[in-house]
Amino acid sequence: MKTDFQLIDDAKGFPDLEQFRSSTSGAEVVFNGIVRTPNKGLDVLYLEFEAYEALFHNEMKRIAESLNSQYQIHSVVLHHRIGHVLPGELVVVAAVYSAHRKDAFQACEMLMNELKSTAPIWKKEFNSDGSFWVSQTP
Amino acid sequence: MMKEIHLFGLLKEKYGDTVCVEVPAFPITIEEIVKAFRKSHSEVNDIPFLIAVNHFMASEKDAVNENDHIALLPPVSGG
Repeated sequence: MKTDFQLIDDAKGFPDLEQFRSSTSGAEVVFNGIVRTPNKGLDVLYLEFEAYEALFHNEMKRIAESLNSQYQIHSVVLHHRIGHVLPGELVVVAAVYSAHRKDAFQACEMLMNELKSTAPIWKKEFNSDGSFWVSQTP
Repeated sequence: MMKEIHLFGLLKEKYGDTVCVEVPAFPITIEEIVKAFRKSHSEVNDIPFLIAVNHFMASEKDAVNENDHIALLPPVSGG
């Protein structure tokens, strides 16, 4: 299984997915996460992301191994922005490649669920009413 | 003796990149380190967090030594 996990400072760091395509992968499922406004009725001005990079890579490796044990997949890609991100901009691009679409869809969904619940990335929302740290887990 | 702890997210914003907590001796469990941190930073008692040791997730019963890298992780929110 091929993997590519990166924390990136700007939108130029998002992956060129062409390099992961192959004749054996009949399915490519891509999730693009975008900063949304409004959120809970307030206009979002921007988000600030920070990450613990060494742990991020170890956690993503663990997540990829878990995906690989449950689904027939060929490649897993995930690039996540850190720093200042504006509404309408991409935050995360996740892609999964497999022979058939079912495995690719399910593995991509699991990849994003795991990312949101365990990857060491923190987000602070700045909105028209102030700012707060977004909490998902633990 | 003192043990340095690395912080992230709202903990980092509140206290800086690292804090030192006093511990009796090494090895010591993660549970005891967390207890020492909460004792000296009582205003975070309502914040749940996880712990990483040497860049891997750890559990409360794991033991750490003087040179281990310890990080406190407040609730994550990637994506």
